Amino acid sequence: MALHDHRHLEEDEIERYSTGVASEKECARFDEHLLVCEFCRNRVTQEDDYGLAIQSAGLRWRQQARLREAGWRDFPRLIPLSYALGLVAALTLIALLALGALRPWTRDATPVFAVHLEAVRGAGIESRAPAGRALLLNLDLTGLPAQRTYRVEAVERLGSVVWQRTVPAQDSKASVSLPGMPAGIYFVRVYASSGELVREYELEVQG
Amino acid sequence: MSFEIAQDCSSRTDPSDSGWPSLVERIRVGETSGLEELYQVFSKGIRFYLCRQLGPQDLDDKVHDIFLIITKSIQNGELREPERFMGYVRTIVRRQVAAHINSIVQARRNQTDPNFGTALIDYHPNPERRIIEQQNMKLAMRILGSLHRREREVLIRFYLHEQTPREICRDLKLSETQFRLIKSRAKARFGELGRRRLALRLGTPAVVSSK
Repeated sequence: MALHDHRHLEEDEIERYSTGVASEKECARFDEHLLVCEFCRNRVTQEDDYGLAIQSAGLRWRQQARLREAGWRDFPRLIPLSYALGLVAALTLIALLALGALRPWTRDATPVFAVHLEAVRGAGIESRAPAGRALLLNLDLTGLPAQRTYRVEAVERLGSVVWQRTVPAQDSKASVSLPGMPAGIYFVRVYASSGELVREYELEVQG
Repeated sequence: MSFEIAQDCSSRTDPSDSGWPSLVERIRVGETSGLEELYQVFSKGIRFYLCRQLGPQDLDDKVHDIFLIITKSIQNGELREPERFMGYVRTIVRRQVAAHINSIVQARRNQTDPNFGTALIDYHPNPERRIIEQQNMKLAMRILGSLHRREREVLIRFYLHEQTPREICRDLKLSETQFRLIKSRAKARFGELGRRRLALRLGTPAVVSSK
């Protein structure tokens, strides 16, 4: 049946024409019909658009799928083993610190060293502490005028102040924390609120 | 659907009812109305064919050239079977397409453009066409995303890898009916989404498919 006898193209004929798989004989018939039939031309255009859209989308779909697959497959190659191990170790450490699991251990590693400072007579240095360790100074304030607070300072052998703070006193005693200090001879001085030096202790920090 | 086609066929205005020989005769004797009718009947079809084969470049000039050739050949009495006029037109259009492609190939082979490298033709579609294609691709992505993996595979194999239906049916163990059903469903969905998009753009309610 010749197409110029008013037969429109069938759906599969449109598809074959659009995708270019129609035979030469079919193409001749289709072409002749399309020369005069706007209805079928529109259908061919729609089929062309549809085919092109599915092609492009299919290509993108395949590329995305390939990227997803490659992402997981190439992961070990992209990150060397040493980096991966380092990363895992760092993350574990962060997690442990966050959970507080290392807190007792860290406290044990650098325990505060307690020093009892007492006023004694004589030239010898009675109080000693290790270098680089945080110190807890327990001050004996017996015999001093009773005050709520005292100013305490630590000076090195040549007189330079290396640390100072106002500390509360109770029952003729006071406690104060000091950061770790380098080895050397230090003087811990206690001042009254009037600014008067009321006591001085000697402390030897040993390296 | 068949009703729609039948209706469209009956309303068609090509002169095949009255016969091509009559039209050819009017053109041969130089009747203006014959030339007008020739242009009216074939201009869109020829334009469509040329555009699909050669692209939109210089389309008007090419259509005009073809009409001149057809008219001259009729007036020179070169058309021996007027009742096969459509076939004749198609042959001339195909020859013109072949000649055009041949001239491009020859030019590329023989001519050296001194400005080569400075002027390049942009083969990309125009911005409007590009947007339409992007929107169509988004629709197609939505369709592919909504399909079952197996159905998606069918479409990609058919349209992207250009496998034959027989190969696809064999590889995916599908019957021919299943294959056709998958394709037609996806196509219907594409059309439906496209209509919805158009309706949204125009601000009119989309016609709901009865399927």
